[in-house]
Parts: sequence; C-alpha cells; structure tokens
Amino acid sequence: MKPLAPHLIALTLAAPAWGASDRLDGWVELGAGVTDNGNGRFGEYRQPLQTSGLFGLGGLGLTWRDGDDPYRHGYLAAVASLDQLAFEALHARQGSYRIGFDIRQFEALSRGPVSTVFADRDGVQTLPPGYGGLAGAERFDAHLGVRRERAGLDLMRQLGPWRLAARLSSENKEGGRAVGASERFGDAALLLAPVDQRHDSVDLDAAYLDGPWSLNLRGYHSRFGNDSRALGYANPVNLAAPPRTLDLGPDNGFTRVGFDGAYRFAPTRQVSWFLSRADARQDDDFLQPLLVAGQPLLDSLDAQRVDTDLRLAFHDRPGARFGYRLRWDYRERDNRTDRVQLSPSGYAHLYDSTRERLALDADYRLGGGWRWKGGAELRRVERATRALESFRDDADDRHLWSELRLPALGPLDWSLAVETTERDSDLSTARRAELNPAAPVLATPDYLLAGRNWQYRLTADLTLAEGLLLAAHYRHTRDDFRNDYLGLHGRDSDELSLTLAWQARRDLSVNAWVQHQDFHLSQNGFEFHPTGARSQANARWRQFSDDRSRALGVNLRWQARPGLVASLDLSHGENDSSYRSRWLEAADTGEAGGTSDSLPGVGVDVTRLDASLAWDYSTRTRLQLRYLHERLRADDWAWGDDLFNVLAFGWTSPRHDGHALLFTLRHQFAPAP
Amino acid sequence: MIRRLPALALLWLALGAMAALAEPGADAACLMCHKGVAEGGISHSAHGLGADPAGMSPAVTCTACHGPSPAHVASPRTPPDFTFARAEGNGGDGTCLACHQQGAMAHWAFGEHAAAGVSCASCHAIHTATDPVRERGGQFGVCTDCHQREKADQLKFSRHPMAEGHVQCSDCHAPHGGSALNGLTQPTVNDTCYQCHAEKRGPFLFEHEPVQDDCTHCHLPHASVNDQLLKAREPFLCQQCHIAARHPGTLYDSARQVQRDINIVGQSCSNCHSQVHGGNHPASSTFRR
Repeated sequence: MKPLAPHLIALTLAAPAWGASDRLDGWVELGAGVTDNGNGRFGEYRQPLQTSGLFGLGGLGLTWRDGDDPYRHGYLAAVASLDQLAFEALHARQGSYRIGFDIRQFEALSRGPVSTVFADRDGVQTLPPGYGGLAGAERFDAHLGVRRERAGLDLMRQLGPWRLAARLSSENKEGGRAVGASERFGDAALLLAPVDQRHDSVDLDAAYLDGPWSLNLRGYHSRFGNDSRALGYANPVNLAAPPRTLDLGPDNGFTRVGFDGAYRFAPTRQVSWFLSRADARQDDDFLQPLLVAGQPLLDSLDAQRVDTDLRLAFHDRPGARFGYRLRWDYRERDNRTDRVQLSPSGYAHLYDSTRERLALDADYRLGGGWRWKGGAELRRVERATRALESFRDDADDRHLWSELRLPALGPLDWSLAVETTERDSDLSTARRAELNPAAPVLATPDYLLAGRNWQYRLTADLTLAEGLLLAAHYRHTRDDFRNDYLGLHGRDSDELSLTLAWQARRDLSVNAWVQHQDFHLSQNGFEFHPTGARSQANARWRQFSDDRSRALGVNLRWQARPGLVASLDLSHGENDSSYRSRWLEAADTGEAGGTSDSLPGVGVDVTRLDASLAWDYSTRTRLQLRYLHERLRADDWAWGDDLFNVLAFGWTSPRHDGHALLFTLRHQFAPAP
Repeated sequence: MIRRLPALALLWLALGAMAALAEPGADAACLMCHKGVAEGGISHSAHGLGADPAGMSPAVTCTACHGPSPAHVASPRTPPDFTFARAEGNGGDGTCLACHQQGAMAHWAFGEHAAAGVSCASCHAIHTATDPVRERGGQFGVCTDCHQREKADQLKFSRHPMAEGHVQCSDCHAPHGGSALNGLTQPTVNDTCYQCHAEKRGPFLFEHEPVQDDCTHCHLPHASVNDQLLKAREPFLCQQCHIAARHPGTLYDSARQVQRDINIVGQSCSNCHSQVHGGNHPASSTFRR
C-alpha cells in the first residue's frame, strides 16, 4: 500500500471534527495468526494464507459525534484483516453532507507457486545465457498474482430538495498474469505477462426530490490505462526465431451522461424513465502506423463506440390486491470505428447491435391464500457485423412467465412457477454461408439459435415445529434448439436446494443446507476435411458435457453463557465434470459410426471450516480465537504433463490441507466525558 | 455495577437525545425495558438521535416507527402497533419509505424484492450501530440468507470473491429496484462487468461479437465448476460456435488426451487465442496474440 498520502488526506478530513468533539468512542484490535501449509489457492483472495508462517492482525477505529448536533459525526479506521488492508475516514452530517475516503488493498493469486524458463529483463521475457532447450531447462520462480489497490473519495451535499454527490475512484492493478502465447504445438504455452493497469472513474449525481418529482442527472467518466502495453518474448523451442511481441491491450475511455427520474401520480402509481448516451474510445499507439501493401500509412488505430439507452416504465397498483408494470427499453450499440484495412486481406471486424424490449407483468392476490404473478416480454435484437462485408442477424424472443402461490397446506407454504421463451431468428445470407453444410465455418451461436426454453420452479417452506423450518427449492430448465446440424443441440439443468433452520433455543441456532446442481449439454461437431478427398470425409460427432455440483453446509451459533459465543461454519462441495462423445458417422480416424468414447472426469472437492470462540472478558474487551481449515482436492488431466509443465509454469492440479489459527483482542474505549 | 457503566451511559445518552426532541417520556418508557436496543448501538445511528435533520419526519424515535403502541406498553406480550418482522412483508416498508425516498428507493414499491414480500427489515438492521448489509464484510452473509445458491457457489473452482467482500452483491445488483429490466446497477450486463474489468471494454478493431454482446454468453457471473467462470470447459465451449476455419472440428476424446494435443491441454483454445475479448493487433482477426 502506498502509505502516506491517503492517510494524510483522511486525517485532514477527520481533523475538523475532532476539534469540536465532545464524544469520542474508539476501538483497537490486535492479534496474530499462523498459517500452516499456506499456498496460493488456500489464500486465493486472503493474502495472509498464501504462505506458511506467522502474520499480524490489527485495527484501530475512532468515532466522533458532536454533542451539540448529534447528527454530525466522524469515523476513522485502519484495518489489517485477514481479507484486506483498509483505511477509511468519514466526516458527515446526516441529511446534510458527507465526505468519505477509503483505500483498500488485496491480492489475488493464481493457484500457487509457479516457475518459468524465461527470465524477465526490462519487461521482455528472455532466455537465460546457456539455455539449451526445454529438456533440463533451469526454471525461475515467478509471481503470478494481481494486487489491487482501490481508493475512493465520496462527497455529498444536500441543499433542500437537491442532493449533489460525487464518487471518485481509482484502482491500480499490479502483478503478473498467465497469457497464452502458443503459435503451434511446441511453442511456449503460457507466458507471465506483467499487469500494470490503472482505472480511474468519476461518478457525478445531481438529484432533485420534491413532491411527486424525483430527478437525477448523472455523469460517469472512466479512464483505463495500461502501462504494460506489449510484451516481448523469445521463442523457447526455435531458438533461431526472432523475438515475438504480445499485445496486452490498449487504453480506453468511457463517458456516459444520463438523466433518470420518476413522477409519482399517487403513492402506488408512477412513471419512470432513464435516458443515457455513452461514448467509448480507445486510442492505440501499439504497432502503428501499419503498412499495408498498396495502401497509405494508417495514422490511427483508434476506435469509437456510442451507446444509447432509453427506458420508460409505468408502475401502478390500483388496489391492495392488484398491481402491474409496463416497461420498455431500447439499447443501441453504434460502432463508429472506420472499417480500416490492416493487412492485404485483413479488415477490422466491428460489431453493432440494437435491442428493444417490451415487458408487462402483474400480480394479483386472490382470496384464500392464492397469489398469482406473471408477465410477458418481447425482445428483438439486431446484430450487425462489419468486416470485409457487412451482414445483420436478427433474433426475436417471446417470454412468458407465471408463478402461483397456493394456499398453505397446514404447515406447508408452497408455490409453483413456469417460464418459457420462444426464439425465432432471421439469419443473414453471410451467416447462412458460414453454416453451409458442405463447408461449415461456424455453428449458430446459442443467442441466434431458434428454439424454446422451459423453466419450472417449485418452492416450499415447511414449518416442522416451533423454531424449525425446512425450505426447499427445485428448478428445472431445458433448452430445445431447433438445430438439426452443428453446434448446440440441447441444454438442461436441475437444481435442488434444501435448507433446515433450527432455532433450538434462544441461545442456540443451527442452519443446515444442501445444494445439488446438474448441468447437461450436447453439441454436434464436424470432422472437417477441406478437400473432402478422404473416404469418410466430414464425419459428424456429438459431444456431451455433464457438470455436477453438490454442496452442503452447517452453520451453528451457540451462546454458551453470557459473554461466550461459539460459532461454526462448515461447508463441503464436490464439483465434477465428465465428457462423453459419440461418432454419428464413420470417421477417417477409424472410428465407426455409433462408437462412443469419453474423457476422464475433472473434479474439485473442497471442505472449509471456519470456527470461532468469542469471549467478552468485560463489556469493553473481547477475545476471539478463530480456526480456518481448507481441504482441496482437484484432479484435472489438462495439467501435469512434464514437458507441457515446463512451458506452463509447472502447474498441476491443486491439492492441499491448509490450516490457520487466529487470535485477536478487541478493546472498546469508553466514551470521552 | 462498574461493568454496567458504559451501558448505562449509552442508555442515558440515548434517552437524552430522544427525550430532547420527542414527545416527553414516550421513548423513555420504551428504553426502560428495551435496554438492549440502546446497548446495541442505536444511539450511534441516525435512528436513535431524535429530530430528523432532513425534515422528513418531526422526530426519529421509537414511536415514530413503531407507533405509540399503548397496548404494548400496557402488556409487553402484545406487539407494538408496527413491527418489521420478515413475515410481515410489505407491511412496515411505508414507515421506512416516509423518509427514505431518494434515488433508487423511488422504485422500491415496484421492485422484485418488494414483490417477493421482502421488507426493509428483512435485510437492514435498524437497532445496531452498523448495518451488516451495508458493510463490505457483512453483505454477502445477509444476501445469502435467502440466496443459498450463491452461497454454495463459493465452493466452486472459480468464483468472484464475494465471501471475502472484495466483490459485493450490490456492486452489480440493484436490491431496491429500478427502471432497468435486468435488475443490475448498469444498463447492460457488460457495462456492469466493465466497472472492474475495464480492460475488456474496448472498443477494439477486432471485436468478438458474443463477447461484446453479452459476457454471460460464455461466463457465469457468480462461480463455475470450470476455470475462469466459464459456462463450459474449453475447447467444448468454443466448439459450440466454431467448427472449422483452419482447425478441423476435431472430436476431443481420450485418444487426443493421451496425445496431449495442445488444443485440449493447458488452456486449450486460449493457449493460442489469448485475445478472445478483442484486440487491435492484426493477428487479432483470429484473436491470437
């Protein structure tokens, strides 16, 4: 964390408050922890758990309140917790003004320790002197993780019916990430690409609230800067090859101006709207200007896009039993980038779209415990692509849904819901040419596939006894695509959740939950031989993916005696995927039509335990002991081959048993006299 | 007695602040029994300070929200005139909305939470010094009291760090409703994602249509059993659209796995096509480096 400047700003904000204070509260927290078998996966988002050993915890907070005007208050806190380093300051008067500042930092690691054959030299991935090839190559430790540092300044001023607010944010991302850089089998598969990015944004809001009017004028500006614009690297397989350069992404900027609001005809009837126009640009100085044979030098690779949003909604609740909403929205993505030529055969590939939606939904409370909710929505999306040639694909969705809450059956409250979406698409000639069964290039993406989606839900709450509740939720979804050729053919899922909440006694509560999710999809592919010369050219196959996720957990909170609270959060998840395939026709590779094969499954099992014991030594002093455990077993055949590993950071499937023990003491200062 | 001094001091302060601006004695009667409320920190929050500085209400006191409740005063087992328990649904929201009208609250009565019978008090803690749902470390726990699927999602292989509070539910979702059809804080899914992933915003010279159209064509927003929050594993995800081009539409089966085919090991398609979100380099026409 860049230490001094933000702290000083925060102290400056808070200082005027302290000058006139007559009530000052505070707390201090000190602690320590120890991690055993710490690693990047255990501490994926918690830095102290990324390495084994001791770490410190601490925090200090001060709150101030003006005795003459108790709505005027301030807050100052610095925290070094398991999750983040943070500093916050606030000075405010409720309903009048607010000045807030915060800065926080955390790091996300990718799996664990990594090593690479490259040596980083001034941002260029070079091979060390004496490097003689992959076999037996020396490997260097590398850090593969991104540290995010976020700072924000909040300002608010209330002036009668006007409320002016501003939020200034800045985020720095620094570290390294894995990026694929292979050109063919044998080349480096993964590179450590530096991350040095900054994202600044300003959010301005002028709101007016008076009587039936609620109006907001909003402005948002965001600027993204990438200080690691490109990465050079040597070819570790073909040592004679010239160094290559990797594009790591251009800077961009985004500005949106919006106006939204509502007019309330009555407490239960209003019209609301949202209008906005946004401008997105990127200016690129990477690899420009480019020389295209026969073309003049390009003086810009810049791009521009204008987004327009319009929304209008009418809400009405004519009576206690009935209400409805009518909503319309329109979105246009207008890509204003020139269709530049970047190579003799390469043109920029630009995308535009417009989306229009009209939705009506209503709810009605019938007598006898019946309640109905339902609605309809029409969506039309037009997608245009501009490249060497331009084409447009349209899709129309008709969505209907209905939910019925039924009268209670004794202790059972339950409801049923069904949704369906019908999609028709109108594909362009160019798209149809790509789908040509004789020489397909693409399959139809799912958002253009005609077909029908069904969704069914059942929700039930069963009161088993006083303080004992069982809640169940089941959902089934199914996509039936009208696709008799390549791409997605079917997709369905089943999800079931059960929750048991038991307030055994006033001092003991138990919550147990179980989740089961199953996702299946099938898709067709095409063993493509451009010449069609082989005996069984263009054989079709079907592939099935099955993802399953099961999780269960128990939360327990027990106040053993006044001032002594034990809590436990135990969860276990099993996630696995399996892949089956079948040749629909005899293939050149020798497989007969109808034969099946499968890939090994991929699985991740994780068990987490978070247990704590808190003891109030006095009304002002609390001691807490906390234990964290994570057992993770992953098994993935895509990682682990020796030669491949050399080029891919030595990654293997993560497996660990991590433990951490934390002890903290928190003391609350007495209010100042 | 000495240990109780801070609590008594808090009680005294709460009583003092309330008594100064409320109907004399009204809330003092409440706090005679409900000491825990004062000790719990309401005197640190705007709801325990007396007069409303915005002038929306003559006073923010116990009775301002719960009503004078004479029956409750006479017989504590009788509930106050207004309570804000979950089961009450929308019943108590009018009291809150009398003051909280600004911004997104203009849409509350017509939003999804209100329609589902979720009341203000279902999520917000009124009587404590801090409201967990407004705290970075506390929001996930409050939301997943109901949204259990998202709680279980945190056990999957790739996930947004919501349990740690680095990503909050309200960073993306508008819990109080709005005019948007998608229930998000931004006009589109992509605009929501770009708040943190600005490097993918573009525009680029080479745009991958499904990427620019909607991030959820390929990604699950909360968590996935696959790497990088992907809806399906590569290369199968890519093969849902891409059949041929320069690569044959190979069926990746156990034979390919034994061969360690570069199209299936490691990052699969992304071993080469690393610029799948778009790029400016001429090689980005196939989303390579």
